[in-house]
Amino acid sequence: MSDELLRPTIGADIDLSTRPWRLMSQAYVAFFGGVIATTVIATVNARRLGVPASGRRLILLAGGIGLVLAAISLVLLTDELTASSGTRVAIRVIAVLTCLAQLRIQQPMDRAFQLRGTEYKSLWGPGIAAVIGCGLLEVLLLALVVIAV
Amino acid sequence: MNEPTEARLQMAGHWLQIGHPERTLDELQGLWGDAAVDYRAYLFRGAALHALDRNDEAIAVLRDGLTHYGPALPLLQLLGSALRAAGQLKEAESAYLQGLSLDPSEPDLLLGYALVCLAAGQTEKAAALVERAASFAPESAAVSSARAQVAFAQGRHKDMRRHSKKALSVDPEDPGAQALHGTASMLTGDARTGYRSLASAAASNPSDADLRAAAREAKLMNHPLLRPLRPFQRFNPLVVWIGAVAIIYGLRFAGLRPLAILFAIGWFAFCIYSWVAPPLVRRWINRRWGS
Repeated sequence: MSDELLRPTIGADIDLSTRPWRLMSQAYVAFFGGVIATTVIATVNARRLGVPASGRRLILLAGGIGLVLAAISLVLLTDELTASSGTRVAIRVIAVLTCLAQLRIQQPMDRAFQLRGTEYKSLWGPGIAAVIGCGLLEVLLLALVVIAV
Repeated sequence: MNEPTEARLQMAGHWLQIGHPERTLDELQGLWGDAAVDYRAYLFRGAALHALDRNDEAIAVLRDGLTHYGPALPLLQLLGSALRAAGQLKEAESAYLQGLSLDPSEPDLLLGYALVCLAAGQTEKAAALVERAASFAPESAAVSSARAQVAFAQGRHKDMRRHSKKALSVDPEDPGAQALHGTASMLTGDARTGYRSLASAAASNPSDADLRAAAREAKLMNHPLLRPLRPFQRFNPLVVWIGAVAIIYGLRFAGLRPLAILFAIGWFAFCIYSWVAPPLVRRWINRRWGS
């Protein structure tokens, strides 16, 4: 019988042994760590959730756009080399907006994970590592951009 | 089959029906000889083990039953469900498709397969399967429950609430429908109804730790001390935060600097409250709930 609906479609693309992180925990990483940190965490999590490659590319694209916007806002708002509190808030808002977009891409597969009824993994360790490591990298990159412009 | 054996099998089925799977297993343990390999013994034992979340054992029993009796739809249906619960989605799909190759219009198999697709993130296929099941059983509560789960997977919370309400209207005591309705109510910001439904579901399923935890969280959200935090439940906290930042800077650019400072201090205090209050209230509620 040629019934499209009754054809097997479930492949081995979902690795049920790796547990993902809670979506909302990623917001803290975005807030404290910036665009690069949230993009790294979102990309790894998307892979754990089994988000298709196209979705993972969109997450990277959102991160790229976020980073460019952060650089532009820094160049426009910074006097000499000292970032004002307004600039820092603007960069944080951009990171949180980037995170929101990345959460949206992960949401369908996160819901599927919730329906499977398994426990999430803790983001504390990797989250703090991403905040420090990627946060420093971002500061360095943005500082280079300001010096170059 | 002699009469006591028949009575025992019927009793095992009865315990299962009224939600006491452990007693079903006790009853079946007393069977021996031919009765122990009766079709119903496999079916009831598999269903009871699955209900007790002992899915690996359920899968072994049901596969054994299938080798004895050939591809029987109720056994395949249960096997698919147990495999899904055990996270073996590919195998669950095979079990359902084997059943559907025998009867493509069986609503329970279509719904079971839909739930496997949902767990694998294939929401569109799941939705199509549920609608096909609905065309064979339009008034079924199981169809409404499955529609609610599809809506949850797609992030359509209002639709989830509508479908779960419909499922509940068919059987107000069904714990599955209560759990869905409770979750949907919480997601749409109605913590009072959410708590009521989740608490009923948890009371009917005392062994389900996840349900118990969900009911506790719902109770927490109903606490008067946590009422100010409702916006965080209703809207995405990130959006609330961006809104607050927009207001602070909006006031500053409008030349109302003192007002901006006042709002910023208030927002900061609110943030601290949102971090401190929930753990304290949770601790207090847990102590009262006795664990």
